[in-house]
Parts: sequence; structure tokens; C-alpha cells
Amino acid sequence: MESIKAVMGNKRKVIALLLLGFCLISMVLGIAIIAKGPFDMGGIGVSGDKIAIINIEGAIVGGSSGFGIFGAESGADDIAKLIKSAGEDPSVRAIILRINSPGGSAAASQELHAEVCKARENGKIVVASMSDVATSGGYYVACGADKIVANPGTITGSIGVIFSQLQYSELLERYGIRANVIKSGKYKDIGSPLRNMTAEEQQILQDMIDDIYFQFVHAVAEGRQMNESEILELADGRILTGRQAKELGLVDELGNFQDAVDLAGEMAGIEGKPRVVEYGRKTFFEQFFGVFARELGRGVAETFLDSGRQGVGLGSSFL
Amino acid sequence: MADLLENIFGTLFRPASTFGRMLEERTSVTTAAIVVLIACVCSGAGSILTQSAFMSLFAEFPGFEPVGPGFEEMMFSPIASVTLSVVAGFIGWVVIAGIFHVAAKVLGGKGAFTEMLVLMGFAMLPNIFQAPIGLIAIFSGGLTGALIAIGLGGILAIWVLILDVLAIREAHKFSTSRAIATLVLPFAVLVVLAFILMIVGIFLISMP
Repeated sequence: MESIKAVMGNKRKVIALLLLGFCLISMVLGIAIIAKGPFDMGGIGVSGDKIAIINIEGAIVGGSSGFGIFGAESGADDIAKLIKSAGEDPSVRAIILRINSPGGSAAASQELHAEVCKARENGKIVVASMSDVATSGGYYVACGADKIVANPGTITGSIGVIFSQLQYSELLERYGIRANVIKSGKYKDIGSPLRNMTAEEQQILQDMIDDIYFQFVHAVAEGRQMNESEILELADGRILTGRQAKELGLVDELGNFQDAVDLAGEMAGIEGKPRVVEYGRKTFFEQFFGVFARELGRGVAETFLDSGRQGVGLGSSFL
Repeated sequence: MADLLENIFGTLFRPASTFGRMLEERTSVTTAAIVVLIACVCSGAGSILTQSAFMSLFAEFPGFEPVGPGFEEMMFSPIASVTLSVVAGFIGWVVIAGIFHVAAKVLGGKGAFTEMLVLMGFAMLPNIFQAPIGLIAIFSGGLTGALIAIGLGGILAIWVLILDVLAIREAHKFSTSRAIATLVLPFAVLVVLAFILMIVGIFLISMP
């Protein structure tokens, strides 16, 4: 009886020792496996190289991203930081710009376009993947990429510049309201809605629009490796479907987001499944609790403030 | 060492009687601390392996990965993960044992804090299996690996919970239902406190 007890006792201890040993060996083996490439940072069969996804959603404006009165806005400052960050990350081999934007301010679009070009100079492959809409400023950003992938039904194009301004001098006159404007120079209140625009002022604004327009045409010609004359023929502001744009050489491939991921992986020479990381993605709590409520209020306030400012000054020119 | 192995086996396969025996033999807090250390090291390593399995899941679902740049250096550093697990584990061991000890005393328990500490330390033992679970998960990869990690991890969590109930029951010498109540009481208090704070907050905001 005593020897049986002793044997059973030893058995229990041996089992305990074996279990502990097994767990500790698993630990060492597991860490050794994931510490060695190409398994590092991705698990078995997953490449450690990353494809960064950067979303450009809504109107492209200067400053931070948020919500305007008409919906989401992509702030050039925020997006440019993400592109720069991805461009300088040695583990990022390719960047996908997921664009769903009707355009926005010329300068903001140029900021993003410049960062895209810098990322390419850093050796990153950049693929623009168009969603529902990638027109005007959205196309401006996309044209800087190595490849553009659009769905056949994507709305793109609209290569051009627009400036519009409400003018309600006659309305004020009708109700006997007069505005007194004291200014330092004759063009200081150019674009004022309180009076008619003079022919000279119209020409000044037209020259500005044309300047921005030719910057846009040049960027598209350079990005698409086409002649400026070819682009000028298409750059009358018309919108195009993805399929039409491909036929005209403004888009490289027809496909969806997954096709863009596969293309980016192939172009970057990534073997196996690439790690796809979304830059700038908000956590669940940020999305649910914080950002929407805060930015909606901020967007409404800013929109009203901007409307007030435009009453006495020049509005932005828009792509 | 021999006693430690005996207690490890007993905790995993015959916890109720083993906990009772450990109390009679006055198993030391140091012995329990060794168990906590082993459990935390394996748990920390298992966590890093599980995260790696989730990374391959994210590769199957592009764009799902929520982390931003810089996070993975922390996430995949074995040293950081294990160190964090050990530090957090020890702090958690003492704090949680303390909280449950107070709750048990409120419910009429008769045990000593050191006894709670010893048994709650041994109750963390199933966490040693985090390491092999993580290994299975990364070999499976993708969605399968992630599901294995979640499923087996859930089983481990329930196992630890059961051991906690038994530890509280044996240490304070009362019924299983009272031991369960001891486990639930601190969370119930937290929920009530949070509710009260919310009401007070709403009241303060609505004041002119």
C-alpha cells in the first residue's frame, strides 16, 4: 500500500513536471518561431512587409479631418501626416490611397499630391484605389500614384478648377440696404457679394483659376506620363466613369479594393500574404463616443463662421 | 520542489481537496509566488503568440487591423510582453486577492488574507497553457488560429474562475454559493457606483 502510494505520488509529480516542461518549451519554441523572418510580426505564412492603407474620404480641405455640414472632410494636415509616416516606415512596402472624394481645395489637394510623390521617391509603391467618387481634387491626389485602380462605375475625372460666389447686391438694393466698405486697395474686396464684380476683377480671378488649372493639368500629365495637350483635351471639367477613364488613359486598371491590394503587393514584390494596416483608423470608442459628436458640432460652427467670412472676403478656389 | 509539483498537479486535477490540504499544510506565500511567476511568464508569452495569430487573421481581412504605426514594436517584443505580464500579474494577484478577501469578510468569511493569497495564486495556474494555445494558434494561422485562440482562451478563463471560487470557498470556509457571491459582489458594487456617478453627472450637467 505504501509503495503504491509512493508510486502514485511520483506519477503526479512527473505529470506536473511534464506539463510545466511542455508549457515552457511551447513558450520558447513559439517565441523563436515568430522572432525569425519571414514569420516575424505576421505569424506563419504572413509576410512582415506591410501595405499601408490611407483613406481619403469626403471633401479635401486644409487643416484637420472632421465633419462639415455636408459630411466627412479629409483634412490635408492629417492625411499628409499619415502618408509621410507610411512613406518613412521601412516596413511599409506599398501604400494604398483609398479615395472616395469629390475633391476640395486646390492647395489641400496639392499638399497630398506632394506627399504621395515624396513617398514614391522614398521607394514606396503607391496605388490609388478609387471608391464611389474620385473627382477633381480626388483625382489630383490619385494622379501622383504609380497605378490607379477604379471600379468601372466609379465617377472620376472633373479635371478643372471652379470658383463660385453668391452676389446679392440687387437683393440688398431692393430692400434699401447699403453696405459701406473702406479698403486699402481697389481689389481688397474682390469677390465681395455686396456689389457686382468688375471686368478687371473677373479677369484677375480668371487668371488665378487658369493658373491653378494649368498646375492641375501639369500634375496629371506628369503622373499619367501623357502630353499636356492630350490632358487639355480631356480637362474640360467633364466627369467620367472608371471605364471611360481607363479608355482615355486616366486610370490604369479596373478593379475593386482587393484588386488594388493584390496589385500593390505584386508591384512591391511582397511574397505571401501581405500585412495590410489601416493608418489613421480610429478605435471603436473614438468612433462611437468622441469624434462624431465633437466634429459635427465643430463642423457646423465652422461652416457658419466661414459663411460669415466669405461675406467680406474671397472664398477658396476649388478643384 | 516535490510539494510544489504535488500542489500543481492537485490544483489542475483535484483543486478542492488540494486547496484544503494546502491550507492544513500552511503552504507558503513564496511557493504561491513561484506559481504566479510561472503562470505570468507563460501567459505573457502566450499573449504574444496569440497576437501573432491575429496578425495572420488581419492579413486575410485587409484593412481590419486596427493598430497604427509604432504599436507593433510593443506588441511583438517578447521581453516587453513577458515583463508587463509578470508585473501586472503580481499586482493583480495581490489586489484581486485583497478585494475578494474583503468581500468574503463582508459575507461572513473566516479566512486569513495570506490563505487567500496562496490559493488565489495557485488558481492562476491554468494560465500556463496560454503558451501552447498560442503555439497552436500561430501554426493554424488565419481565422482558424484566431478562433482556436479565442475558444481555448475562453475555456482557460472559465477554468481560472472556477478555481477562484474554490479558493475563496476553501480559504473562508463557507459554501460554494457564498463563494460565487464573493466573486460577484465587487463587480456589483462597481456597477452600482458607476450608475450613481452617471445619475449625479446628469444632474450636475442639467443644472443651470
